[in-house]
Amino acid sequence: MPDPFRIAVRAQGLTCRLGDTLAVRDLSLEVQAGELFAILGPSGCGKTTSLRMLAGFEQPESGSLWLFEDQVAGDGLMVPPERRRVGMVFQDYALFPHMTVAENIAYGLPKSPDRAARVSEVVELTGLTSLGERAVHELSGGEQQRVALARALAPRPRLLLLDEPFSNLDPSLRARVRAEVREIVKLSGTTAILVTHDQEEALSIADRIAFMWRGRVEQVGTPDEIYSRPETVHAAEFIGDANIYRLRAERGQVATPFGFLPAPPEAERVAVVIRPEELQIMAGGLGGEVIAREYYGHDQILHVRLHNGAEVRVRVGPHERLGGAGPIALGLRSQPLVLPAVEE
Amino acid sequence: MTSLPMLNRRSAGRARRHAPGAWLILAGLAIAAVSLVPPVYLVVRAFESVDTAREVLLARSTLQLLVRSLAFAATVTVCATLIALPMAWLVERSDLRGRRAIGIVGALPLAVPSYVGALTFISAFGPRGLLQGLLEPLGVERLPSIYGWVGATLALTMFTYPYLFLTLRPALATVDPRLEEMSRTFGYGRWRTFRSVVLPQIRPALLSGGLLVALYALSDFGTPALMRFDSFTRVIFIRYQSAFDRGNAATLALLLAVLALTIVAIEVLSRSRRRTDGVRDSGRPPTPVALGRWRWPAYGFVATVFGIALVLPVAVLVHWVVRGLNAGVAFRAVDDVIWNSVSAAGLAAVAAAVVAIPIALLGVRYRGHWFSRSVEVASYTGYALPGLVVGLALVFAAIRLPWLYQSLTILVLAYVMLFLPQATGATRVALLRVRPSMEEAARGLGRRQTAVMRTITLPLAGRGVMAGAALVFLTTIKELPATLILSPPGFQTLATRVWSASTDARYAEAALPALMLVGISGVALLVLSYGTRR
Repeated sequence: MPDPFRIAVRAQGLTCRLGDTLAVRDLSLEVQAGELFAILGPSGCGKTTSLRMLAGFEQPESGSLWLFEDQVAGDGLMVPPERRRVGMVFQDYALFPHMTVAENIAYGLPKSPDRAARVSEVVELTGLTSLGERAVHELSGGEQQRVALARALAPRPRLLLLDEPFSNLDPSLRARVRAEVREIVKLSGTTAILVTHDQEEALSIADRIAFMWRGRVEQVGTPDEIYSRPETVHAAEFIGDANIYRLRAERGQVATPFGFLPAPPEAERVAVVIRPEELQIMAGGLGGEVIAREYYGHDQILHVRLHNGAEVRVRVGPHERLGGAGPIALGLRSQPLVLPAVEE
Repeated sequence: MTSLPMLNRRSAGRARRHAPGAWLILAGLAIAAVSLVPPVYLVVRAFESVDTAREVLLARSTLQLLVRSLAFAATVTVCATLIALPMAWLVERSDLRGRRAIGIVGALPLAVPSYVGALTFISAFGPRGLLQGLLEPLGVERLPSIYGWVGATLALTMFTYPYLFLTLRPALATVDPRLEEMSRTFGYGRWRTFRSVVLPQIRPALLSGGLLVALYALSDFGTPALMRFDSFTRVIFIRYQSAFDRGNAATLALLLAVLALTIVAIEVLSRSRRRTDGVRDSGRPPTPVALGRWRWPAYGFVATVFGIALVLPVAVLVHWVVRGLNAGVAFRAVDDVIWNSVSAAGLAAVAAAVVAIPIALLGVRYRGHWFSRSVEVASYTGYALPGLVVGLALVFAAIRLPWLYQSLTILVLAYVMLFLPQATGATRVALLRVRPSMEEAARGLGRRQTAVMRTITLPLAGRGVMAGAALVFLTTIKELPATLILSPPGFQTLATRVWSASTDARYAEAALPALMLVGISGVALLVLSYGTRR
């Protein structure tokens, strides 16, 4: 059993350069044993490079990296991938086309009498029973993905890395496969790190999330913390939907379309973040006009121009205001977030 | 790790954005350096005495040679087009029955090495040849001479038109039929539509196939030599043999090399500017044109071409083999010649396959890196140059190195230079199947780099590497000019045996090795067409 109080991954100040670009800057992370951890960010933010550093395919320029009690990079040390006991599931699965399913899964196992037993154990775990002798190209996308997962788990890695594992799947399959993968990983008890640009994926599957932006980790937290208390404007913008107003603060206060709010003391420019669902239709609230509507079935977004000139998007239930355009009054459900605005 | 700046990082692919590793750089540098030996030595040798070089270059005879060779290449190209374009149109656009079979058979003349074809034409139509023998009872004493311009043009046209045929067919097949229908709705007839709509769209294919034929006509040694037509290659060879004129030979060879490289450059440039719009996307094949009574002349045309380019050479060779068997000379010294051919070509195939690996690795894993591209371009030099030119250049380079001069080593080296890109192409296709993530997955599963190479990379790429080697083997075995020039004394191959027997009109001795070469080339053609599919 993995010890929940052990640290599985400890990265300190990892920096990695690809060609002339600084892909990852000063990455520091701690991942608990047994945790399913997600690195989330837009494409090109350095998340895949971070994963490849953990696996040993990229060498950090500076910083250090421990997997459990072993240092694997930094201080002049660079343990090659084959000696890290890290399993990896690639975006394209990277199955070996000249081997059967069972041969793929057995590839990472040493030749020993237990080999076949371990293969069938993993086959069972991943629900691949009866597919063992198939050629890889005969499998569906979801099955290939489970083979990749089984192959990575077979040698009992200390850490499982998943690089955008669901992006090659049909959208209609994704939610189901996600749940399956989470269950398999949790059953195996392996610590896992998943890289994705899909916020829904990260929020629904991960125990904790690190949000990356332009090579830096901007926030680490549980899905709930990341969504409801983003610490940077980028996190607020990237994860979920938000009305964002970039405004000037004076003497610890900022004038927003919804009145004065306290601002961080030293900040001069701030961003006020209001999630569309944090607004509601409220008699006696701030007046405005509905100017457009996006209908989604389970809910809808109203575009409202307030009388004070600001535009805002409001999420309301599917049966509200079916007439569309017309006057409306809005109120806040909770205090909006005020974050320091960063200069781009 | 050496750090080389990326020329184009975007195209370098996700997994390998680094510069190539040290061993790849060393291998690449070595390959590039050796590849550039022939052109460098030609320049050195040609300008050893600047006065002589100037004299040769400015001589009236050189100008005549240049004009004659270019006119010859142009004539062959035009004649080949006159065969290939109608035949490709019949196969792709008409309702002629048996057009599928014609499509396959139409490429087969490539299996007849042009010097073998030339020898069969000479023995059939030449003085005291088979045709005259047949006509003698009718009182025909002399036939018009086959030698010279006419014979050389006939032979080269017949055995090179497939290059054009093969490039024109897909071009004709992918012209969007809707464009033609559009033209017809404007009231233009079939011929007008062909000229104004179809022809412009197949022009790139026509140009690139035509340049290929022209390059072949200019570079070929065996046909002009047997047909006694004074093309560049024949003149160079004669001057080279008359030992006093070797400097002249080098200057002329340099001139020929420049011509050949110019043609290749035009071809590459025209290909890079080719537009990709106008590619058919309707997915509907064009409606075949009903030939009606015109099908009889069409059959006549196809039968004539196949008769001359396929039936005649094979029939003549079989005839001579039978006569040779009766006279007991058919097998004279064929055994050791076969062994020589197989061992030289085998060594060349293995060497080319090995050398191709670093080039293909650079091209696939470091695509777009300036170093990869330079190595690749350099490795193409020998492929673009006539075999005679490469052979001569290597003689000049090795003449002061007795251990190398006229050794099997230098012969194999020449073969590798001439045919390396065939191996590179096959190996590259194979390596593309091995995605970098597969190798990384294997390493992540605890295997060392050497084990990954053994269990993943080689099993996946091995077949392609072997196919490349096979292709080099099959092409090498029929190579003539470099073999003539560089072979160790007394070392004869199937090709040189055919050559020496046919220059003395000992056709019965030439026939069996020639027939073997036709068979081997046929296999090569199959390998090639199988390999390029998919």
